[in-house]
Amino acid sequence: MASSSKQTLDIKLEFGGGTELLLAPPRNKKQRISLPARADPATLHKTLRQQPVVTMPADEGAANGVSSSSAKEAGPADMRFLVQWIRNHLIVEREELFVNTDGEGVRPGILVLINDADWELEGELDYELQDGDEVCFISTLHGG
Amino acid sequence: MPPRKCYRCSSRATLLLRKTLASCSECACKAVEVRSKPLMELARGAALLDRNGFLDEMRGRGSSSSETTGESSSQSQDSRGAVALAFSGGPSSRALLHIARRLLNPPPASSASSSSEKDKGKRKPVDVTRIHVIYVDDSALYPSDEGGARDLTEDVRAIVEEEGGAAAGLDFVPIKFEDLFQGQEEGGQLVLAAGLGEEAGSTSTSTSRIRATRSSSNDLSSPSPLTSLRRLFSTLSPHSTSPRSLQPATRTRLETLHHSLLQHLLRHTAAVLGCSTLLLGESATRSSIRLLSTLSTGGGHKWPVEGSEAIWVDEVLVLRPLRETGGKEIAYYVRERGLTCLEPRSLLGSGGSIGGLTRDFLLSLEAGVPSTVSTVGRTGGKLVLKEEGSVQSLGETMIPYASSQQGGGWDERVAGRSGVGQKGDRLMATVLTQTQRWTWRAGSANANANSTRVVLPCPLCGLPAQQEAGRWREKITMRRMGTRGEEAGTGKADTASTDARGETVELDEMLCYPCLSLFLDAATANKGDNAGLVLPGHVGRIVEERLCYERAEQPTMATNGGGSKSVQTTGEDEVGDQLDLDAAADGGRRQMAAAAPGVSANGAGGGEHTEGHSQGARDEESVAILRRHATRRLDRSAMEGKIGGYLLEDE
Repeated sequence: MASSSKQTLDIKLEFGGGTELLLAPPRNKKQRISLPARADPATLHKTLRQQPVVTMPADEGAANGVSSSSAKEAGPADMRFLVQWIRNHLIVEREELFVNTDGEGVRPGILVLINDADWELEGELDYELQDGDEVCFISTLHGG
Repeated sequence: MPPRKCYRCSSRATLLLRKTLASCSECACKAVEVRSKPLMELARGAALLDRNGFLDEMRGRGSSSSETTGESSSQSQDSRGAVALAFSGGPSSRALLHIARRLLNPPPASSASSSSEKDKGKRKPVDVTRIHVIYVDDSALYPSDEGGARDLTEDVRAIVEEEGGAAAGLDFVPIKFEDLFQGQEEGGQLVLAAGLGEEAGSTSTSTSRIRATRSSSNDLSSPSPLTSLRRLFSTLSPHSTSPRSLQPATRTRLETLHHSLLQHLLRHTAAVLGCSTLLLGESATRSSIRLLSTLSTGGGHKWPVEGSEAIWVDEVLVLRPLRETGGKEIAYYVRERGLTCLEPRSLLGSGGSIGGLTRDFLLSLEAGVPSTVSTVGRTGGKLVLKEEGSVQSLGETMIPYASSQQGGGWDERVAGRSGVGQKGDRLMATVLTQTQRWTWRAGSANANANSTRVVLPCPLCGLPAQQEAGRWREKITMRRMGTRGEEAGTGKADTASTDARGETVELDEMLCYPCLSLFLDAATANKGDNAGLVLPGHVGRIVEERLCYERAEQPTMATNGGGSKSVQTTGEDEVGDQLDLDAAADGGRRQMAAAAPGVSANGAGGGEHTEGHSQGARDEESVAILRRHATRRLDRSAMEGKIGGYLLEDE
């Protein structure tokens, strides 16, 4: 389904260093998702663990009974929203190994790159995602 | 947010280091390589020393003729100048492999000119002849039901081939963790004589001895190495009926044992392969985590050797070229260079172990205070071994050899010998004078042996062991070490419980504190199941070397009344320990006297005046003992002899 620039963002995700082990089988290291363009908390419901990963439909907000007025009030999708979305839709186990204890950011020791650049240079959680962005999560905990 | 510029080339920055330093991709990768170069140069210097025979005596090759003439047969030259690299498949060792291959640039394995110094100007002069990439397969330790038992050796081999393989001078050396139990030592292996936590004939649970006996090398009932390895690790795990509260402690023990045995196996393999250097891919982050967790488990005494970025552990130079590079930089480097790594078996939680908790703690701190890792590392780098003189420069430990040759400093001795020009000569001189060496083997110590404090190794981890860690632990815990065959304070010479093969060996007197704690703490969870537990082969070998060393030192100790400066005797230790305890006790008594005036420590009346007078007398006596103790450490003749080794002969 072609993503609308107004309602969804086409985001490429990459997981490495062991973070892919937290995903549902087949634990694809590289995935493409359609993220809601607005950071509507109503869209952060958790999928059932038994269901396969599905692309978020453009009209999910309406399907979940969320009024269009609340969707308009939500800000643009940022990294904070993306991390929550990944936790709720892609991580199937041990989410505390991905998300920080405060529930917002990622766990210390996970390197995050946005378009091959350190997210600390882009504003970290406040970075507003653009259509076509590539976000990479690499765990540095294993050393070796 | 305006884009930040690279601090070096002013192009657009893509990596932020320590909140203040932004770098572009290429400069970040180059910085990792440049930071590794100084230690890689030491590896080259050690390889040059090896190729020119300077290390022969140290390693028992005995090729003094080749040293004096500078000539070596092509066959012997092929085995010299090799470097070992520990490779786990993770990002740090993967980055190290890439950097080492680029900076050391060994010749192809099939090159016919590998034995010649120069290939008619077509190649750079050779110093490092090959890199042995050592991979230790520990899949036997992972339960098959958790899906972690797959042998990843072939995956690692593919990665080494991707880096260039034999054509790039890389020699893949796969070994198994159970090889620790391979190669029956002469006289058989050590086996535990009784269950941990049990003393033969005693039902007391408050006493602990760790005794071992030698099994016959012809004993057909000896378990296989794999069985021995699994049993050793299962010994440290509690029974299934034990409470869950013991699991974090179990995980700590397993991690500690795994790390100690792995490091020893790597050093041993490097020595067996004839390598002058062992490269370890430990990052700054990993090193700082390990420093704190090692301190937490009582292993701080050996950190100056275990955690040093460049130190000779006996005959192998152990280098950590990535010690100044953080885990984040390494992960970025691996990704930018497109390097393939092994997938980890699992994404580790802390598991409650000391190592895991320390990792989470340090990384959390680093997120808020970016200089945490570097600060911890720098502070740890200032630690030294307690025994003064126990670590010396490589050249100082080779002085007995040098004194048999012509006089002069090391700069003169190595001049023109490297075969690769002045830079090579300087490299060799740098390694001889700037790198430190810890060794305990007789025959390789300083000629002025009386001025050298020898720290003997722990049989299990092979690193410096505190003297009588068990006795020290006994003083601070409820647990007693049980009866001994000696009277207190008479010194090791009277110890009847340590002896040659066929008789019982008191391991608890030789183990360092963390290794001792491994067994003693496991005793609370696993009693009586460990009789006949086979210990790794190197344990028996190190025990035998220690016993030989102590027997050789006994006449010296007897002549000097147990006060030999070359060996830290039990007598001196007990005096020192007793003074410490007295000082602590005196402090307590003073506090009690101050808190309750009129009541003396012995409960008699007439109080603090009497107590203060006797206290003052004890203090004076303690000071006098301390002064005598301190005076024995200074020996003018020994110092003169040491200085004399550097002086030119009078013409």
